[in-house]
Amino acid sequence: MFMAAGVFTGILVGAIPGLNAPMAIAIAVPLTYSMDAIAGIAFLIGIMKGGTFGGSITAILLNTPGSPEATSTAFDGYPLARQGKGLKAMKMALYASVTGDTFSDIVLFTVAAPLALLALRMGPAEMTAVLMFALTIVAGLSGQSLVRGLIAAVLGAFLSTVGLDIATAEPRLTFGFVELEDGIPIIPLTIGLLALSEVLIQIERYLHADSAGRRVVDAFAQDIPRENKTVTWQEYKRCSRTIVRSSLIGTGIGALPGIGAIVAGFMSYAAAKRASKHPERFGKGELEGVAATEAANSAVSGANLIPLLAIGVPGSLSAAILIGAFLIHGVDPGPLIFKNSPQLVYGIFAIMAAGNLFNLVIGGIGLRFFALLVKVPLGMLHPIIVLLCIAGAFANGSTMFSVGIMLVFAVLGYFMRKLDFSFATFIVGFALGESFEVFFRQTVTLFADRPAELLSRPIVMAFVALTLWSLWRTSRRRGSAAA
Amino acid sequence: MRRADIVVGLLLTLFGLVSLFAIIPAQVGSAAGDAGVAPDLFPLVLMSLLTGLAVLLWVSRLVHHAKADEPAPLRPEDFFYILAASIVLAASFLAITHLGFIAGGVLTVAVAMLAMEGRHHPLRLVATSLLAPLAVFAFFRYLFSILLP
Repeated sequence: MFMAAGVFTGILVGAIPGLNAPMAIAIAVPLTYSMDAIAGIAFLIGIMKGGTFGGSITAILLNTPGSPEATSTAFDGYPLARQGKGLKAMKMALYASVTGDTFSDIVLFTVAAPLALLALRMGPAEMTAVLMFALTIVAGLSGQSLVRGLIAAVLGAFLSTVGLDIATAEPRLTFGFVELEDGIPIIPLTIGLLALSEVLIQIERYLHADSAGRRVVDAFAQDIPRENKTVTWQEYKRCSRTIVRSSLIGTGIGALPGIGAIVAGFMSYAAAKRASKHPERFGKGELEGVAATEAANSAVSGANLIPLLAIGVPGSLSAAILIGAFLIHGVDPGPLIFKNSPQLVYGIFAIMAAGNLFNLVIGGIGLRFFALLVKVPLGMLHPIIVLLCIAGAFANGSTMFSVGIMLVFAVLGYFMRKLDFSFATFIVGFALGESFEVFFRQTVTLFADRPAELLSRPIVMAFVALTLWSLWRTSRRRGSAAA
Repeated sequence: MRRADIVVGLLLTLFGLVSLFAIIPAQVGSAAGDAGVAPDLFPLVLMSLLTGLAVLLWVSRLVHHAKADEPAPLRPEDFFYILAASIVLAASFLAITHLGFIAGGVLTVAVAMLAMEGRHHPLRLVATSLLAPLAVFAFFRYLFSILLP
C-alpha cells in the first residue's frame, strides 16, 4: 500500500513543473517516522520510481521537463504531442521507463551482494580512498566547474562535523546550541537546499514572467484518432533495441557514484539517434527518442542503489536522501546491511520489483489525471509547497529549530543555484561526511607511525590513482572553466 | 560568472581563514582522546582543503579572461528578491512559532499568493490560504500521527 502511495505521489510530483522526485523524497522522509522500516523505504522508493516517469508528462505536454532528467524526453515528446500523439508518447514513456527500471533492478539484485562482500574485505584506508574517489566523481559531474563542485563537496563534509565528536563526545561547532549536539539534521537540510530553494527560484521566475506563454497540449481531445492514443506491440518492438541499449547505458551510469540521470538521458538519446536509420526524424517527433531517454533515466534509479547498498555511497541525490531515511529507521547503509539486516535488503528488492508493476498500473490508469496537473496554477501550487516544506522540516524532531535550519539552507541553496555551486554535491558530501571522518580517523590511527605502508595497499593506491585521473580528466575536459 | 567567482572565492577564503584560526580553535577541542586522534583534525583538514580550493577559484579566474557577453549570475534585483523572501520566511517562522501552524500557515500562503498572483483571483486566494494549512495539518496529524505546532 505504501509502495503504491509512493508511486502515486512520485508521478504526481513529477508531473508538476518544477517539482521532482528528490524534492518529494526530502519532504516525505519525515512522514515515514511512524512507519516501520520496510514500509517507509517502500514509500520513498515508490516516489523515486514514480517521479522519474512523472517528469516525462510535462516534458511531453508542456515542453517543460517536470524533472531535469526528462529534458531530452521533450525533444521528441512535445513534437509528438503537437501532432496529436501526446498520449502515445506518454504511454511509450511509461513502458520504456518500466522496462529500463526493471532491467536495472535485476542488475541491482544480482550485483549488490557480491560487491558488498568485496567491500567488507576493505579496511578503513581503502574506504577512505573509495569515498574520496566518490566525492571527486560527484563534484566533477555536477555543475560547470570542478573547483566549485569540490568546494561544495568539502563544505558539505565540513558541516557534517558539527555535533558531538565521535570519539570524545565533546561538542564541535555547536555555538552553544544544544539542538546541534546531534549534528545538523539531514532532513531539514535537504528540504531547504533541495525543495524550498527550488521553490524560491521558481517563484522568482514566475515573478519575472518566465512562465508566461507556456502552451499545454491536450492529449485527450475527442477528435484524436485512436491509433494516436495507443502504443502498438509493433511500435514497442521497433523501439525494443533502443530501450535495451538505453537501459544498459542508464544502469552503467547509475551504478557509478554521481548525478547520472540527466547524463544517461542525453547519452541514450544521442546513441539512439546515431544508431537510427532515420536520424533526421529525431527532434521532430520520433517515438524512439522518447523511449531512449525514459528507459535510460529510469534505469539509473535502480542502479544508483548499487553503490548505496554495497559500499554505503549514494549513487544519486535521491539515494543520498535515502541515507537519511535508512538512518532514521536504525539501518546503516553499506556492506554490513546484508549481514545485519538481510530481511530489510531483500524486502527492498521485493518492493523495487513491485514498484515497477505499480508504476505501470498507476501510471497507465492515472495518465488522464496526471496530465491535468500541468494545468494547476503555479501561483497556488508554490505557496502550498512552502507550507509542506515547513511541515516536513518540523516533523523532524518536532521542533521549530529544524524549521529554522531548513530556512537557512533554503537561502544558502538559492545562492548555490545562482552561483553554480552544486547543491547535490553538497548534500552527498554532507551525507558521506560522517563515514568519511570515521574511516579517515581510523586510517590516521592505524597508519600514523607507518604512513609508507599505505603505498603497499593496492586498493588504496588504485583509488588514489583513479581520483587523480578523474580530477585531471575533468579539469582537462572543462579547460579553463574548470581550473 | 568570472567576477562572481572572484568575489565568492575571496569570501570563501576569508571564511576559511577565520574558521582555521578563530572558529575551529574556539569551538573544537584539540586534545586527542583515547583513540589518539584530536577532534579538530578532520574539520581542520577539510577547512584547509576548502581554503585552498577557494584560493584556486579566485586566482584562476583572475588569470583567465572572461567572455565579453558573460551575464552576471546575480543581479541587484536577485538580492532584493531573496532579501524580501527571507523576511517573509522569517515572519512566517515567527507566526507559526507564536500563533501555531494553521494561523501562521494561513498568513504564509496568503502573503505568497498575493506576491505571486496579486488580487486577480480573490476567491482562489481566500480558499487556498484557508484550506491548505488545514489540509496539511490534518494530513500530518491523522495520516502520519505527526502533530504540527
